[in-house]
Amino acid sequence: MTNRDEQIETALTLLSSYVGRGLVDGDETRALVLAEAGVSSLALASIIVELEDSMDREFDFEAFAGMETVGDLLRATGLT
Amino acid sequence: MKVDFHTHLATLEALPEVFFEGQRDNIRRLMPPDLPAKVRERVPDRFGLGPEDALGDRHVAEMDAAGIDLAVSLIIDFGLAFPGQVPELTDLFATHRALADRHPGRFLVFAGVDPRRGVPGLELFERSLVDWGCRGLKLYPPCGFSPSDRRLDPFYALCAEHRAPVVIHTGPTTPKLSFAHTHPSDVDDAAWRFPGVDFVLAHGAVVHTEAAALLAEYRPNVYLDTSGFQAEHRRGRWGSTLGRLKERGLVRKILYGTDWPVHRQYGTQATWIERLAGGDGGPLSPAEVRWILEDNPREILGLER
Ligand SMILES: [Zn+2]
Repeated sequence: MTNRDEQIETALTLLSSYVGRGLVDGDETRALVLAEAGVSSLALASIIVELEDSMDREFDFEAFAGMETVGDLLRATGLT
Repeated sequence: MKVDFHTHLATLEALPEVFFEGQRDNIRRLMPPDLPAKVRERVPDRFGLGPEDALGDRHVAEMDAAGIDLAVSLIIDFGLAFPGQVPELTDLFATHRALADRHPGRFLVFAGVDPRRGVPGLELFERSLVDWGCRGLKLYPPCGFSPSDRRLDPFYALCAEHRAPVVIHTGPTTPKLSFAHTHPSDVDDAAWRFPGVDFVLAHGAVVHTEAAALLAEYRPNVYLDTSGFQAEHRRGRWGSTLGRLKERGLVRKILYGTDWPVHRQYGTQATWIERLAGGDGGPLSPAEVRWILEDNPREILGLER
């Protein structure tokens, strides 16, 4: 498992706790719309900060503009 | 010509830090109890102005990408509500003039004056209309006055004379300010007494929608803007909200507004304009989308076709 795979797993584990069910990486998960899955904008901010913490870096404010799906989140954090 | 009827200059002078700090106070109370302390501390920081854009270059680039031709840039006079925390009002007017000058034809500036400034405020407003090219008035009642306050009468008289619309904030805002005077019904008396002035209920398509729609339905000179619909969209409610407004026959009373730079972290101008129609199977026809983006603002602003 690469470092990146581990980070994706960390991100999905985090997301899972907000969505309320276990998310496994794949097309279906990546297409999941965050708002529809119950991820509020506050929850999203928490996820981003937790990811920053675990990846030890800071994301650009604007990288998150227009983020809708799990796939968008992974892209915005540079994980895919 | 596509118009965004509700935007602001993205600077901490136009939208001061204290404004966002109030919102962060609320966010701290809304966070789940079991978040790690480190995260708890940093989450509120993600809710703020974001990068400044004093010259409007970023804003114009986003407008271009979205196909928006013209934006109304609203000055808010926070001077009396947040003393010492915002620049002199005349300086704020100057920065907005510079914005319009730098991007010819892309911005119409609406003056913001707290009516408690009295005669000097009125003179500033008149000067902005006559000499500086301002095209309307923006009022922010949460600063502590009613939009139907009689001290505004001379301002509204000037608006009637210059055919200048008035954009009035409605609904809650930063908890640093009072929510009194933010109900659509607070606008009714002024709209009734000044039938020759067009009143736009800012956020009227998304907050207090029942009361806002009622006023827009029965008062010819009352309109609603969509600013804040981004949050409604995120919650999956925008299509149905829009549908109810359409059912009441109000599409001609709706103006497209984004409140840029607010909501910036959740989308670009290009994404928002796409979402205006309420998504696939949304309630609006292409012609109705055109009314909201083009015909309605053109008529209110007295622009050429
Ligand atoms: Zn606004």
